[in-house]
Amino acid sequence: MSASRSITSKTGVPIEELVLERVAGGWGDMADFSIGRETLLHQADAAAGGGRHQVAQNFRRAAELVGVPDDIILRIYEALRPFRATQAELRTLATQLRLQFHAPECARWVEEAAEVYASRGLLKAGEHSG
Amino acid sequence: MSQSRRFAVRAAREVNKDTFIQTWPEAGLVMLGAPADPHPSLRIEGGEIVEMDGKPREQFDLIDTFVARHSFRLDVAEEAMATDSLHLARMLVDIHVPRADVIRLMNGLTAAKLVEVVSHLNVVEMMMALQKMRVRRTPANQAHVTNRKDSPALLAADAAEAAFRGFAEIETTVGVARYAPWNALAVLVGSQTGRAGVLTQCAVEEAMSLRLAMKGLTTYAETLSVYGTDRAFTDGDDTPWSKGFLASAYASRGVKIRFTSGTGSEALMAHANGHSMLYLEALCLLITKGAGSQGVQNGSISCIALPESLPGGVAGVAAENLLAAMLDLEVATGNDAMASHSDIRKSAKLMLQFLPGSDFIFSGYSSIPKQDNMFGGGNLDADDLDDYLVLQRDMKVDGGLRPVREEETMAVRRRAAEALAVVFEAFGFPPITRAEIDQAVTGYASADMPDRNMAADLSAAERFLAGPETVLTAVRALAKNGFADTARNIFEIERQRVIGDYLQPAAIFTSDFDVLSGVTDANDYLGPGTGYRLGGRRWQEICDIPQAYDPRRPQTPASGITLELEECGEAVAGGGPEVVIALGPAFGTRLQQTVNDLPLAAVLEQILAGIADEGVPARLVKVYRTSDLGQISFEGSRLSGSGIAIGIQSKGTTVIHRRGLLPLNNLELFSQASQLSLDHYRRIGRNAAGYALGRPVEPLLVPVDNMARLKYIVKTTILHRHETECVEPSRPPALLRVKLRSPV
Repeated sequence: MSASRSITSKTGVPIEELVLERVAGGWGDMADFSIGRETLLHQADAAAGGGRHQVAQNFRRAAELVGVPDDIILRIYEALRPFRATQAELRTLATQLRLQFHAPECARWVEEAAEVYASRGLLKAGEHSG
Repeated sequence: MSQSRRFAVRAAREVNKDTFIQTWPEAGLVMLGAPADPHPSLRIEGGEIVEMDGKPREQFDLIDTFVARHSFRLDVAEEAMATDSLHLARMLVDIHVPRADVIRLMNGLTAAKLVEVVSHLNVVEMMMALQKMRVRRTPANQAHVTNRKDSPALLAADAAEAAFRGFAEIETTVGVARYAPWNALAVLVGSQTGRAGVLTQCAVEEAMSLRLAMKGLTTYAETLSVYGTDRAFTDGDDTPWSKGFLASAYASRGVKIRFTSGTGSEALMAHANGHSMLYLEALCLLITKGAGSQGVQNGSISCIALPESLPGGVAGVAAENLLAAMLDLEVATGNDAMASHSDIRKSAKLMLQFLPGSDFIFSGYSSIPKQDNMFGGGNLDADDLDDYLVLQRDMKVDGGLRPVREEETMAVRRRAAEALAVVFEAFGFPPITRAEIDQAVTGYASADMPDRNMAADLSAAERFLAGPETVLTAVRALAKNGFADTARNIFEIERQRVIGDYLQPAAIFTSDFDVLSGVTDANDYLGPGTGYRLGGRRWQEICDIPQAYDPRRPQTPASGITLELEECGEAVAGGGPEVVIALGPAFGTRLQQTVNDLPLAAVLEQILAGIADEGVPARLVKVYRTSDLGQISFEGSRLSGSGIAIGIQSKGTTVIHRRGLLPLNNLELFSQASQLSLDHYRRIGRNAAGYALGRPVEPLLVPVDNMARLKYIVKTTILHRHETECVEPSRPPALLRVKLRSPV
């Protein structure tokens, strides 16, 4: 499925230009070997085409996270763990995802967590509703 | 203490070191059908689930809420839930129903309904269903590669060997957590030296795991544990939403993930809420599905001894593997943690995944000795690899591994350790020494490895993790220093991240970096003649275990003693109290030793000496017309002056015969040649001489060995085949004399 489309890395380098000789000569860093947003969306379509709708949804959320820096990803993950964040903190992260990183599906995921955590008592101690 | 000796012996058997309990449903210690387990139900109103498995939406807990929102295809749910469970169970094993048709309906089943469906199947039907329902057509296997000292050279060598042996994935972990980046690096470099395209991971805490992936050091992660009750989940310091976010985060970095679950974990945490293990596992799998994970490792995993203590536990574990496949999830089917003390019990359990095949038969075969398994696993380990390879060959089953030769394996191990040494130098880590490389090639376990300065190593590993260097530094160093193949393979692994085809369900790479997955290699099993069939080159590879020898190859004397016999014309009937020794047609010519490896020269020497002990003359006769022992001795007794003959086949089987007895009757028969010593042959000679003299003779008793047939039947068959090839039906018996007996 990879042959029929042009693939570029997260940094926009076409896959044909990712060759060992260039890297051995000192070119490139890990960002050049990171998957691009479009590629993940394509993988999402492939998954959906095979009837794997949840896998497709995960790839769509992943596509949104391509541009989100590592430290922010780790911060969001930490906030989603039980008893870590207030509802306001989770909503702020959701807003940041939506506005700063154009990640509406991920924002919805975090908002849904905030809502459920509130009703299930999983927010930071003493903050069960927002 | 048993009064019966037999009960006492059984009490000491390995299986009785295992723990067995009766069920305790309130504590979750029951495989299936706890009283608190709900009955299947699903009600949808306005596109939302308002009741699930008897519970109204208002009572949904964390897990119910997640599952209700994310795990079902609502457009098929009503049809699926209305379909009789027995009918769905039959669809699973019906070769006329394509996998996709079954999957479509499974997408709409609640946890209680899923459990009801599998509860209609016996284990054979579960195996049939797993064969049909697993995601990938081609089965594969995963290795554990760890060691107690976190020795980098040994990790690289072991990863290389595991890759070389055919494992499609390698999972490592740490003894000391701060070693994580080093261990991930060692296993990556080692694996790509052993075989291109092996996926690798380092099981550590989630945030660390993500950082390793971001540095390009790992290609997949599977430690995303999920649980079937709220309390167990939150005690695990996660929620379905945090795990789901992590799944997206890994995918966003081009890293394959699978979740982890398994029966017994909730009971172990005392949060089973009175539910059966299988019901809770069905919930775990629905969470996994809902989060969009491409797959799962289950099969109780580290809790395996808990279901194994219960009635139906092993069948239940097979059912949980099947549940994953029914939900269209890649499944790595356990078999990693210690399941039993008993080898019989371990092997029997393994068959439930090994015979049908799964996406990964083991979610970690300990390819290293179990003393070095830092997962606490090693149900099967490095010592058992030959057993496993033989099982593949016995059953004609592809268990994902291939036989290897010692010399080539040692070369691969050395190359991997040397490659890692080059990488260490490039990163400025404390060097890997020549002595470490040598021990990594020949040693048994990390106990054999030279000690390193742990403090210096750990600070170097920490600097590496915190610093800007990535896997690309390793690629450059390898390319520059004569490890072009390893460099190219690691480079290609990194390049594949950009393509992302290996994020799809059940994906592995071939050695040519072709992706085999649910997309490119979908399981198309529809009964005999379809699906994965073991044949062609792969079957030849599995057949070719190094222990198997060519039965046509001529016998090479182990003793160095060869017998040369000279023919002195046709044998004629003799007179007086002699003993004739009648030899089989290959005796001393094509064949030189018995089935028991006794040199035929020595055997003959002893028989002759035994006869001489009694002062009786002996003649040697070679019988050509037959290889049958009765006929050989019959021929000898016909020629013998006393009527007494010793008949002996080249494999050593011997009989004392007297003229007048029918060919199949005898005075004494020594049918288990493997049990005969040279002393026995001497006493056979004496007894024969005694019969020739007409004296009363005490028959010679030879010990019986129950294992003899097992040990010698193949050799016996081959030796007898050689003897029979030397038969010349019309050639008369020849008189012989011993010409030469070469020195030892």
